[in-house]
Amino acid sequence: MIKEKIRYDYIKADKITAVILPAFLFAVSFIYLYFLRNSLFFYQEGTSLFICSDEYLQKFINKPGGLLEYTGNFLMQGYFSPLYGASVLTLINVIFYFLIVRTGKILTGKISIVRLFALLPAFTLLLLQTGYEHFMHYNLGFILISCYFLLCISSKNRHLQLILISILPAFYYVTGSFAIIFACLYICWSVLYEKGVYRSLMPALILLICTITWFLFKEVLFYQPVEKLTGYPLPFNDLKRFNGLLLFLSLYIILYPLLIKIIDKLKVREKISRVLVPSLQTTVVIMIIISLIKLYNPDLVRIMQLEKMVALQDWDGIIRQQERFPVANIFAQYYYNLALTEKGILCERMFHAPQDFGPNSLCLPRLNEYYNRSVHFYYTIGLINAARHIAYESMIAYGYRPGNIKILIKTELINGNFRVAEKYINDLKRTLHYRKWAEKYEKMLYKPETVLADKELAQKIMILPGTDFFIRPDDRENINLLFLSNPVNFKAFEYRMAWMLLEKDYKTVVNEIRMMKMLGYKIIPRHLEEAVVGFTNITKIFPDLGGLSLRADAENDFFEYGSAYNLYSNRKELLSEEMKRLWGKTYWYYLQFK
Amino acid sequence: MKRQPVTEPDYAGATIPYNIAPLNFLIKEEGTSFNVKVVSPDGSEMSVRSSTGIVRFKEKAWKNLLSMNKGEEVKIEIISHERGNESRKFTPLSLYVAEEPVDPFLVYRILYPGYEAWLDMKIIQRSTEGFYATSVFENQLLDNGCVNCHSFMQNDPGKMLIHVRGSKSGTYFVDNKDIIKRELKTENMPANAVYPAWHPSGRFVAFSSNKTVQAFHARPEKNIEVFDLFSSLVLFDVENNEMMACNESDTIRYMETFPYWSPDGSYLYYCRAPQVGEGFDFREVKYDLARIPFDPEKRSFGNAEVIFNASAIGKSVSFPTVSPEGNSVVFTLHDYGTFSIWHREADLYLSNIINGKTVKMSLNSDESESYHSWSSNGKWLVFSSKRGDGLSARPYFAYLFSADSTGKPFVLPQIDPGLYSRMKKTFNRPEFVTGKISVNPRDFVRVSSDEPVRTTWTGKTELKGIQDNRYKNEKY
Repeated sequence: MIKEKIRYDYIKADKITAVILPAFLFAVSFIYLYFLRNSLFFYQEGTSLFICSDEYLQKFINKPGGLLEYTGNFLMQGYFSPLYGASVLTLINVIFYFLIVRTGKILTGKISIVRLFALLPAFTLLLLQTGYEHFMHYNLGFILISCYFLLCISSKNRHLQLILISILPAFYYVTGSFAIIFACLYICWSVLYEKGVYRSLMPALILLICTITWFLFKEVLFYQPVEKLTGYPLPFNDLKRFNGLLLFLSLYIILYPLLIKIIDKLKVREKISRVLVPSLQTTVVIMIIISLIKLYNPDLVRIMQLEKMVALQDWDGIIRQQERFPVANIFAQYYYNLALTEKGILCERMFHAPQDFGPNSLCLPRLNEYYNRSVHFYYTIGLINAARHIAYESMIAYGYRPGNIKILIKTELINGNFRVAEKYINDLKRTLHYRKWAEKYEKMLYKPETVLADKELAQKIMILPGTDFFIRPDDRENINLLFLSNPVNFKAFEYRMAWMLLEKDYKTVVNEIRMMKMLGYKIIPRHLEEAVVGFTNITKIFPDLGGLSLRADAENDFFEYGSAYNLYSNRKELLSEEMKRLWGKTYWYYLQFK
Repeated sequence: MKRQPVTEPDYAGATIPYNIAPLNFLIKEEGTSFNVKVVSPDGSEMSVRSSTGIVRFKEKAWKNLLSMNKGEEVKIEIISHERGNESRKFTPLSLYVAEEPVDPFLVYRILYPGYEAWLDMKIIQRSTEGFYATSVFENQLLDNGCVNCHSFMQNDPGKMLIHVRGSKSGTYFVDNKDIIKRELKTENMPANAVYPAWHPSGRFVAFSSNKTVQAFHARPEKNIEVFDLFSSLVLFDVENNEMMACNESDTIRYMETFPYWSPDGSYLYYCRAPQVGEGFDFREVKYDLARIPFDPEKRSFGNAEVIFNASAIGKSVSFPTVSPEGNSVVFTLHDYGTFSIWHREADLYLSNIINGKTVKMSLNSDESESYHSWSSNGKWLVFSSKRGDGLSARPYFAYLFSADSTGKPFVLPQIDPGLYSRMKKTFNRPEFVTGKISVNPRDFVRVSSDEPVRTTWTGKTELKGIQDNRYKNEKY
């Protein structure tokens, strides 16, 4: 009776686990992705632009695996909504879990242990999804492998099995190198689970199909290099590029039949199993939660939020966030300076947030991971040809992205190249999310007066270079040449001054202030005032301010700064910290402590 | 309606070869449906009905109609239908069918008109008589290296070469089915060999060895400037695998570029400008058209003579090409420098070699017209023009009635007539060939890992390299 009760409880508990585990997976996936990792969706949405056109499709159909990426991009176009993104990925994780459970069920009767072993790959996939470079097509690849394999082993009909296996070339075409995982998985399963002649026949058949397919793809159907045929989308030919988790998941799937076989062979007493399985499940769950917590990087999230605000041109938001939650990262500080410039307050406010990288955070080098981000600097200061150039090169090297196409549209409109702008606008009009944006700019085509009526574009036209020069590799030179060619370009002027402030060249800064009144300034921006006061007190020379005057509180503040410094100068352990607390937002602090 | 309909591409009034692919077009007029009828003087007709405005002709019927009307004018009548049974009949479009055919294939490089980055580049051979197109070369098979300067010996598809840069670099010489990878640059040359020109004998190829730099303009009117710091003509002897200077006395005094042989191989035409010095102003670099006699037996050159003194009129010449009968030379004329494709003012000019008369060709537009090549019969010219959008070049065909008269040019027809308005890639170096090229991209892969055949330098003169630090000191 007691035994029966225990058995009944165990079955009941098992049924609960059958619901709890996927529910837990669902909840963790959704909560983590939606609340803690939503910047991922913005990032990934920004790395591809799904255009509903034949030309866009043609880019993908000329290589095995291309359709998988195409489908992934199709799904990712909704990523502008984090709710959509989190829901889709969560759904994928749950589906993946059920596919692995179902596969396990076919291979063994020990369903509770199967759930445990299905939880592991499903959570591995979730961990992978938290990576910014893990795109939707990778998820789809694993789902398709699981589906195809399940389909193949579900059928008891040998003819149907052979028919299913014979469509492997089509599977290879759709999924690319994911087919290698499938082939290995199927071979592993055949060796372990097939009987008689089929144990060797099926692996041989798979190998034969793979060889013929590979030969046909390489020599007849596609002009693709070997590396692409075997290493796209998954880079099997270059394991160094393989993320450790991705490698683990791939091997796990391949060896899944072996794992189930081993479990099947293990003789664990039911009494022990009743304790062991829930304990292992709990351990896995705890490990997953710890991993997810460890993966959470608030600084990275903030940088992504800043990038999102740059895309939305939410300059106030960038300033607010970086001042409240400063990030000691070059991109964050670059965006902050960019936002200040767009608001016209760079020299007024730039030290209200950390400036840890000197002039390097004013503009980024035009290479590697900086490349796509560097475009904003040129657009902001009005070096429109350079912005267009970088956006164009980005389009070639990285493909169509919302960011580069938007810059191309704006810069071509500014430059009056309406026919070229029209092409990009027509592309954006064939997207889900950017249609309205494109329609706004479409109204400006062939109507220069409409371009001039647009506040943003008109302002950029105002600050275009007045005379021509060659764009230099050194951006400091570009800023200076730009300012010289168009003295009403205040943005270039402020960048020029900010550069000198960050280089601590306050003497030159002070020397330049005398021309500010002629440029139209009515007051001296705060940090420039601070430079003047500092200079005056150090050199005892009051510079020519060209008719502008210092605000009343500037000198008072300097004396208070001096007093505070004197107060803490004997307590070196407190000096920097206290000065940062009291005067960290001044140029004086930067000058003295950075 | 007393006007012609707006169509894309604009084929109205064009002179076309009788063997050209159907000139599909898009009607850019209001209407729920369109009736299109091609009528010819011999009475044959062809009709197309379109509800979208896209007009596609059947290849066989099109070919029959044109071949029956060589030397005649055919008309395209268009009627648009609107709701409420209203119809509009437009003034018919005319097409003039020339008696001479165009070569059956056009070979071009297709790529983004980028500046520094590239990803995919292809060399395509496209039938001019239909829409068949296939790749001759695809760079993703060769580590995405840059491929350029495909060149043929007098329109012969069996005799070509291409340059490949990057990890599989070399100059790949194609002789029908055989490909040889060569390393043409020797220690005596300061820069790679570019801009090839096959001698009609097939034994020699002239190149120029150029040190090129590029810079980007800040003002919107101009985009990019590409210019040479030095360049010299070199001659490659294919049989003996030897490289030599072409004009030893001029190597230092002039920058020489864009070689092109006369059809009999007795002259080498090229562009030359005085060698730039320190602090040069790139806008003052003007190339003249010159030629130099050549003796193939002795492999020797005579004295250079200027054929067209462009610098005297404040202009610069690039891409001279001599007609197959050898009477005229077509070149690109622009304000300065050598890189006409980025010069909106670049236009094609035709110079009569016999009487020295030079005329601006009527085929030009407000945008850049630059690279061009002749058909094997000398009656057709294909040229790159950016008249579409100012950025991407398209291949236009023009018929030459006489030395100073050309038919209205037309763009290479496409099966999808709206292609050009969407396409951002450019058609580079269009070249006519008389048949299909028999090698494909895989053939290049097979030889790409071979050790290149290294060229030896011969002759007295070494090409003098001049440091390019003056680039930083240019006046501007």
